Formats: sequence, C-alpha cells, structure tokens
Amino acid sequence: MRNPLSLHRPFSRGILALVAVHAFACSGIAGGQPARQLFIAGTGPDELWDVTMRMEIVGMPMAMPAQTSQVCLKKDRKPDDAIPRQDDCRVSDVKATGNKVAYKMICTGRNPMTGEGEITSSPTAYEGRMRIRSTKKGEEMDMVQNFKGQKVGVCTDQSQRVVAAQKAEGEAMLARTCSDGIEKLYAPMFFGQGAACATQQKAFCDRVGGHARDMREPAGWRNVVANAGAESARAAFDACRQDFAATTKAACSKAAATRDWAFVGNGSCDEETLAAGPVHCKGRDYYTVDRSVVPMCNRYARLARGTSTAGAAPAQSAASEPAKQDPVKSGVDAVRKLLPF
Amino acid sequence: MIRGALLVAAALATLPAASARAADDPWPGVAAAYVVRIDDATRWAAHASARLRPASLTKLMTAVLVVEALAPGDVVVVSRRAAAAEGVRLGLRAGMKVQAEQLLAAALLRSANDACLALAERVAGREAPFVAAMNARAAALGLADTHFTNACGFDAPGHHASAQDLAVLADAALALPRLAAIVARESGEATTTSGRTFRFDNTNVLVGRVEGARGVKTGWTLAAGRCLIALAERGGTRVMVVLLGAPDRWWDAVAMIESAFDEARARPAPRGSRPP
Repeated sequence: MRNPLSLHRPFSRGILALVAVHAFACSGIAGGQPARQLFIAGTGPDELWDVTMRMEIVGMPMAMPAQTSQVCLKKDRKPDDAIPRQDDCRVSDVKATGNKVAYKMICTGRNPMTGEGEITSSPTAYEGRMRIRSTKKGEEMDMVQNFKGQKVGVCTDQSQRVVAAQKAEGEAMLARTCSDGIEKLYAPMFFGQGAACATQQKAFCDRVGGHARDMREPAGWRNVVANAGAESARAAFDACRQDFAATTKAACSKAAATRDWAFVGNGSCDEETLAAGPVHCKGRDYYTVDRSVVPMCNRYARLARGTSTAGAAPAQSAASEPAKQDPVKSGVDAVRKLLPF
Repeated sequence: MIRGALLVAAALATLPAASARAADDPWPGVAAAYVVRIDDATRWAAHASARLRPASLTKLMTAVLVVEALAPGDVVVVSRRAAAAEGVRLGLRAGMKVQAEQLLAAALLRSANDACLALAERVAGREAPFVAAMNARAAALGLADTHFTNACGFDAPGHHASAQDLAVLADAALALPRLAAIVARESGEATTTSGRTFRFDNTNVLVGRVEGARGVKTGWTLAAGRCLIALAERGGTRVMVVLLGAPDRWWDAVAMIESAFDEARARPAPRGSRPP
C-alpha cells in the first residue's frame, strides 16, 4: 500500500535528477535534439515568441521560479507540434477540440513516467500544462509543468542571433554540466528517458571503465567513492555494465591482506570483517583493541551483535561521506536561466 | 571470598537484563534497561521507565546546574569533604583552587567525585541544597522516574533514574554548548592556581574510536553495574544510546550505534529533512 505522504516527500538526489532530466528534455537543447522542444524551432523568417515555463513539484517547499526566454518558432507549425516527443515515450489519446489539444503520454525505459497534458493555442499565443508522475527507487514524484507563449514579432536576423547566442550559451553550459556529470559519475544524466547527456555515454563509460580498474585497489576505491559517493559509483557501474560488487570484492580482499582495517570496516567488506573479527576483536575488551583495528571491530560488532530488526546493512558507508553539492542540480540551475522553457 | 561476593552482587545487579529477554526485545540481555534513539525518536528500548541506579550518569544533572551557575573561569576552592570523596577521584587536596570549567571536565570525563562534589558545594554551599536543586530541575524536565539523594551518583536508597529520563537529561545537558564541548573531548586537564596539573582521559572510550562519537557520560557502581550514555552524529543523523546495567557496554553500545545508523540510512527521509 502506498504511503499517502509519499507524493509529498522532499526531494532526494534521484528525484532532482529526474527533474533535471525532464527540464533538459523540454529545453530543446538536450543533445541537439530539436524534436524535444515544445513546438518546432523555426529557421529563417519565423516568429519571435516570448515563452515562459514554470515547474510545480508537489511537496517542494518552495516554488521554482518561472523561466522566460525568447525563441524563434516555425510559422507553419501544427497544434500537434506542441506535444513534446521523446524517445521511449508513447503519446496516446490525442484529442483536438477547436484550438485545444489534450494528450496522454507513457514513457518507458530507465525513467518511466506517465503524463497528461493539454495545450490551447492560437496564432499569437499558447498556454498549457502537463502533469507528470514517476517513480524512481520507490520515490514518487508528481510535477506540473506550466508553459505559455506570446508572439512578439517576427524573428529578425538580430533576434535570431540573440536566440542563437542563448542556445550556444545553453549548450556550453550543458557541456560543462555533462563534464561534471562524468566527473561525479552521475549516471542519470547519461542514461534513461530524456537523459540530457545521452550523447556522451561512451565518454561516461570510458571513465567508469578506468575507475573499475583503479577501484580494485583500496586507495582507488576510496578516491572514487570520496569523489562521487558510493551510491553514484554503483549506479554508474550498473549503467556501464561493470561489476561493482566484484570490483569492491577485489579491493576488500587486498585491504584484508594488507591489514587496511579502516577499509575493511567501511561497510563494504562484510565478508572480510566476519573473517577478521573473531581474530582481532572477539573476546577482547573494547578499549584494548588497537585503534587501527577499531573501524573493522566496530563493523564486526554491528554484524555479530546487531539486531536483525535493524535495517539491512548497506554495502557502502554512505553516511560517512561528506555532503556534496549535487552536480546535476547546480548545473541545471545554471542552465535553466538560459532555457526557453 | 570478597571477589566472589562482588561477582555475585554484580550478577544480581544485572538480573533485570534477564527479564528483558522478551520476544519484542531486539537486544536481549544487553542491559537491565536501555534506550536507543535515532534523532528524537526512540527506536529500541527495554525497561525504559524502570527506576534503576544511574551511578555517575547523575553527574550530567550536576553539570547542568554548574554550567548555569558558574562561569568557566570561576575559581572553586576544594573543601575538606570534597577532597575526601570516595570512589574515582582526581586527587584534589583541601584548599586547592581550580577553575570551574576544568573541574567540570574532570567530573564529566574522568568522573572524578572530588571534582564533582567541589563544584556542587561551590554552587550551593553544601551538597544537600544542591541535591534539592537537582531534584527541582528533574521535575521541571519531567523526569518522573528520577530522584537524586547525592550530587555525584553514589548508590543510595531513593537515588534512581530511568533510561528514558536519562536520555532527556542528556538532551538538556547537550543543549548547553559548554557541556557538549567538554564531553566530546578525549582528554582534559585541570591546573590548580598554584600550578599543579592533573591530566585525565575520557572514560568514554567510544570518543575517538567510533565515527561521530560525541560523548556523553559513563557510570559504574556495584549496584548499578556498567552504565553509559553515548551519542554519535553522522551526516545529520544523531544516535543516542542509554545503557543501565550493561555488562558489555562498549561492544554492545557500538553494535547499537552502528545498527541505528544502518537503520537510519535504510529508512525513507522524513518530510522536510532534506533541502530541495
């Protein structure tokens, strides 16, 4: 049974990623895929529009600011063009009534979501909203995207230059965000529905492959996890079909062999902890255990004495990682300022 | 013979632990009473309201009153009675003058009874009115299962507290930055105005050994058994463990703390706990 409050949770990193992905998906600059833009971007002597997008996310304590920009839109667009099209998404129940188009959308793949929207348009204005529901790792997200546009003139050479400059700036920002995503091993930016950096999957997985080699050593494992976080590293390995468990196991074996007890006790090496604990911890007074061994013994105490009602032992010491700025959020925040929607 | 009697007494002191082996007790036999809290919520508890001997956990209340009454630099003159205090002592002599904050550290980290008594006398003139103030504060905090008959935790009829009450008392103590800073230290020292220095380590060996350990207080008497209030903080999550009559308090406290953090990691975030 679903927790009635689950739709109102604040946002985890995963949810933020989803928001980010969707924001990019609607931006028209994601990976240079114009089909993702609401309405078809114009070329040549087209129309200049002021467009505004505002995202409302249920449970988010603060309203996200509206994003306003100017775009050149194709003059001979059709009402259906307003429906955002994305890979892995199926649009259904399109109903056009007068100047209004209603539709439903089901997206599958890595970030499945369902949505329903409607758009009312005229030759000089449009307004619409789309409600999106998704679930990721058990967290449900409910968001509403409101958008509207107003024709303000024709797209002159000058306005085209402005729009092009905006787009270029946005693309550059996106490139930097994707670069950060590679650095932080943030897989949701590269894989799945509407992934903003999908075109850089190879670069991402090349980096992960390098880490997969380095992380077989305790020092390499530590460095990567300190930089990206264990959760992100694991997700990156999964996305790139690398074996995180085997890599970690190799690092744990070496740590145990070299008596790197701090590493063994990090929560990722429970097999090694259960083997070493009886030798170095069991039967000793706690305060007589050498401090270098204590991290492993602490973990051993948890495993040997911990109650079965406690939460399942995680495979990484996530709580010991310092809080990090979310690379996606910061990148998206910056890019949003430049987006037409 | 004496050793045997002590062992029997110690075993008797931990008898309630056996009765804690209820089916719903996830930590059977760990302690006569215990409370484990994750942030402000009690996660595991057994006999949390039982009135038991708190031993030197008592000193947390003493410390609260001392911090409220004395400035860190106030000088305390050790009385003859304080210098003669029994049990764990710093080794103070009558007439020695020491700053209140250093005696506070000795009372909390070393659990020194001479330092504790000197502070109580400095605040209230004598121990009896100080104890009355302790009980008044206990009542004000809503500690229904707590009553003190001395300032430093000696076993005595009518001197008791519950694990739940002690968790509340620890919260009150930790809300005072001076106390929170002292109990998190691994060691301390006290220097008399004439230049003699006493150095001591924190009897809470979790500090420096358990990630995020912040103190708080240890206790032991024959009747109370081994007692502990321990606090650890990691990534914004705060775990407090209160153990009364816990024969293997260190290993069990570690297991409880680590289990609680595992639990906290596994649970869904409460609303509003994370920034958007």
